[in-house]
Amino acid sequence: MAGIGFRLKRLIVDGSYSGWLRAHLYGAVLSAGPWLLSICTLGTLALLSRNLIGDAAHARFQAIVVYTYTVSLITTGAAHMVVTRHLADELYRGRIGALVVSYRLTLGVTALAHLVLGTAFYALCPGLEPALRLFGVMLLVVVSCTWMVMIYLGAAQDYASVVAAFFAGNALSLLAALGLGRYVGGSGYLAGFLAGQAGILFVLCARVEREFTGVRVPESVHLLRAFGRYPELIAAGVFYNAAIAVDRVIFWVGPTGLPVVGWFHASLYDTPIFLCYLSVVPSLAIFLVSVETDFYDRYREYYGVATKHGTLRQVLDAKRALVACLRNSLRRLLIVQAPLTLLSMALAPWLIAAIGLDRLQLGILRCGLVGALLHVLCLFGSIVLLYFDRRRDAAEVAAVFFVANAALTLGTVAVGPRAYGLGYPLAALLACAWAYHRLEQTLEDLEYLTFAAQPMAPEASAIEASSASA
Amino acid sequence: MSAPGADICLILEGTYPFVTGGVSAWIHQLVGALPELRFAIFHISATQGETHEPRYRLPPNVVSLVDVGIHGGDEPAVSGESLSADAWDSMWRYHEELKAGRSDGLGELLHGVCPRPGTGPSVHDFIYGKPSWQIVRRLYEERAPDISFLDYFWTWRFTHLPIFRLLHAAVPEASVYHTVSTGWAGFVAATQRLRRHRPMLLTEHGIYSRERRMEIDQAEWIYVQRQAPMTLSAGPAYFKELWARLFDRLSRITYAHADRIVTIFEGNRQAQIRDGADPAKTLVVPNGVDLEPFAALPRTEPAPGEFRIGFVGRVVPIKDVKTFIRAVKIVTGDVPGARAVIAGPGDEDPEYLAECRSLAATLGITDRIEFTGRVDVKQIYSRIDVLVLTSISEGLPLVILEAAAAGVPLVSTDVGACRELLEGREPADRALGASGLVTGLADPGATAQAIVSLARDPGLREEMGRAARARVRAHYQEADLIRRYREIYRGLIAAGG
Repeated sequence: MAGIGFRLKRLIVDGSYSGWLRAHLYGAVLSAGPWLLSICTLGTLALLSRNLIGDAAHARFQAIVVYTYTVSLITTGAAHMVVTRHLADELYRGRIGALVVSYRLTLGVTALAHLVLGTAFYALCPGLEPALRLFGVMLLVVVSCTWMVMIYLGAAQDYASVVAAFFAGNALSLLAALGLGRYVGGSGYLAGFLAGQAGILFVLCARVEREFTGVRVPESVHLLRAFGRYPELIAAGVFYNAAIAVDRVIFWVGPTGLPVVGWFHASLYDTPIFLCYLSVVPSLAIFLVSVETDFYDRYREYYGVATKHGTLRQVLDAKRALVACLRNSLRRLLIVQAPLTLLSMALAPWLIAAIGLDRLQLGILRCGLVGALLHVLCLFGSIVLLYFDRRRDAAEVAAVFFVANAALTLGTVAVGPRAYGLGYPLAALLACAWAYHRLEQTLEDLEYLTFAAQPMAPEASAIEASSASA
Repeated sequence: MSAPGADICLILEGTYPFVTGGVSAWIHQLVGALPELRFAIFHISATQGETHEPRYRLPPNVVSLVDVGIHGGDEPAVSGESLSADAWDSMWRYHEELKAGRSDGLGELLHGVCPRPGTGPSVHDFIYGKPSWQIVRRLYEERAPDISFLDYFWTWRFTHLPIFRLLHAAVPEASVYHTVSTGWAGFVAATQRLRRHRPMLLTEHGIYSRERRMEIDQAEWIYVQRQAPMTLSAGPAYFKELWARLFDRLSRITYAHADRIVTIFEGNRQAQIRDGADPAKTLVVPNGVDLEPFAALPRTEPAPGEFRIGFVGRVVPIKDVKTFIRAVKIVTGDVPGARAVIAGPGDEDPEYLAECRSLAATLGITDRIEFTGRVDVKQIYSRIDVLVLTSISEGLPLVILEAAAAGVPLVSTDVGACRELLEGREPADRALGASGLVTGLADPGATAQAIVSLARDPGLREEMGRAARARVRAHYQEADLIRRYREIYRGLIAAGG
């Protein structure tokens, strides 16, 4: 994360007002961009192509894409945070060469694992034509690899080309899907979409490889050791990604699920929830920028005073500034997001009518908008916890989110249509409460954690480690 | 006398049987000469997790040997018993007592906090726990709020980790606990005295707190604040002061709980009393030599006009060999037949040895000075006319006892026990006459003058050689040392039984 933070700060400090806006834009794209862009592409496709390949074929296509994103986020979740941390650690040590090896290793393992998983799934899933099976496997591999490559783009720090790649790729997806859909039908439609996503992966890989050319590869790569050292990050990654998918999965497999083809389901829950995710894009951007810049400055000041022979009074002053900055960031986020969420809720009936959803989905949309707001706050808390190296706390928050979202969504499905959609906001509220409880404790004890919780053995000095995670 | 295992538990720090040297030789001699007593050895090493090979063959009456490392490594995350707020507060109060100059509160503290190894908070709790953190923070805020907190905290950790580890160390059961220094070893002996109610004996060869203070003054690893804050609480060398204060307090704690406090010469005894030892508990038991091998040495006479000056010892800066070499240069001006021998290993500090050689060359006396390297010193005593010591620091140097036993007159700087050894300690001892001449430190002129006066006066040499022999025979025999310790041990065993 170090690289991204510095880069963003430079954008804001050096640039004009438009530079500042660009930083927000990059922030949004980097934190949730790929996922949201794909949702947009899907939505656009849905609007443009209803009469192109027929409703059934389109439903099949959409189910495959949604399943692919959902599954790949969960399966890569285990590695995502650990690899992010590994990257930050190695960048901090200046060992870029080690990243060359771990990058290729990560990518190779991800591709192979998803090839096996996808092949098994599509071989066994009944009712699909062979071409859809083939493209389905390929899409799973491409999307999973894209998640992992995204991590290493932190080393490249070339966001303009990343953003360009995503827009161009999704435009290609859109055009190719429409074009091939017209002439080849359902499988062509998927192939077109796949072509655009594969194009993104290709450009990103080429960009990372260019960054690595001429870098000397060291003998030891600590990627596997990172997995052993950060089990809490594995848990946090898996639980977090499972948490944001579990409610949709429950709606698919429960009585609310609408069979699409084979093992694929859809539900009335999908579309409103995707719309809700889109509603928090501004928050994600504000959040990312304020964490990586304002907060990061205070954070560095705090650890600077603590590690550079400051007095305890100076350390506590720096801590107060840090806490004030966090409060400020949170307030700024709410000032922008809360009115936006309220506005979205007010406009929800109009929106529902415009895209042809039913009244049941209006309730889900309104619940989801509140849920997404709380979700972003929870994410904010979790990431700040990770900045203070509270990996266990972050894993707890993700676990609470997952368990609550699963249990409450099951509960709402059991209660019936009147309760649909209540699970997600309630679960996000619980996770949020947990995250801020833990954060409160962490800040309360910050000076104790900074000094007394550090290990005696010098090689594991966590003052170094917390700077590394920054 | 019912203690299983051992009669005497020796508590040692960085010495016997893992490190060779004067104190180790002394322990080896003592233990070997008291075969009727069973000894357990509790040894404290600097670093945890290292295995050490004994450098001595342990006598058969050593029944157990435990080696504990106090620095380095980390502590397993084991939780111990939790303590009441009052028990934690007693630790704070103990620090206040120590600051006020009281050193006797350890018993009460141990009783409330860690009455036996494995009870009370674990080492991990002490180092990482919040209650300790609160105490450290309070100490900092009240005593040194303007100093770097990071360094204060780590100084606390480095100085207290050994204490917590030693509180939980399993020390062998014995009738008497005998520590051969203050410091960490002295602290362990004090805890055994307080927990097991067994007598405790302290023998101090050099004054531990002073030796540590000299080391700390030279240490480069202790943080010195570059911009000294303009406050009364802390000068730039505050962290050096913290370390020195720690060792000073460990010495005071050791003195406060020892039943007998032994040292090897009167000057040290006075230093102990200044540092808080109760005079009534102190006594001097000097080191001793086995006279016979030296008394029986055949003397080789000098060639006519020749005068042979001897230096016996390691060629290291603390022996100030350069002053010796400069003195020899001056002597050669007055005594044309003067020759010198420097007998002792130079491998400990090869750089210093090279400097000494080049100094001799610069002064143009390479043909007058012989560097022998490691030799059998008996060969040297039989062919020198005076033994010269120019050390800037000594305890009770064995070379003086050996040379005296061989009847060699002496010239020595006024360090450690040297004046006592040359002029006598008590009136009866003084009556034997001087066995040599005492000079100032780092003063080649004075050393040379003393050598010249002996060179020009064979009668004085004869007289001093005789006095030297008589003094060693009367006061510095190995047999006496053994007898005295046998008596002390027996007395303490009887008192403790």
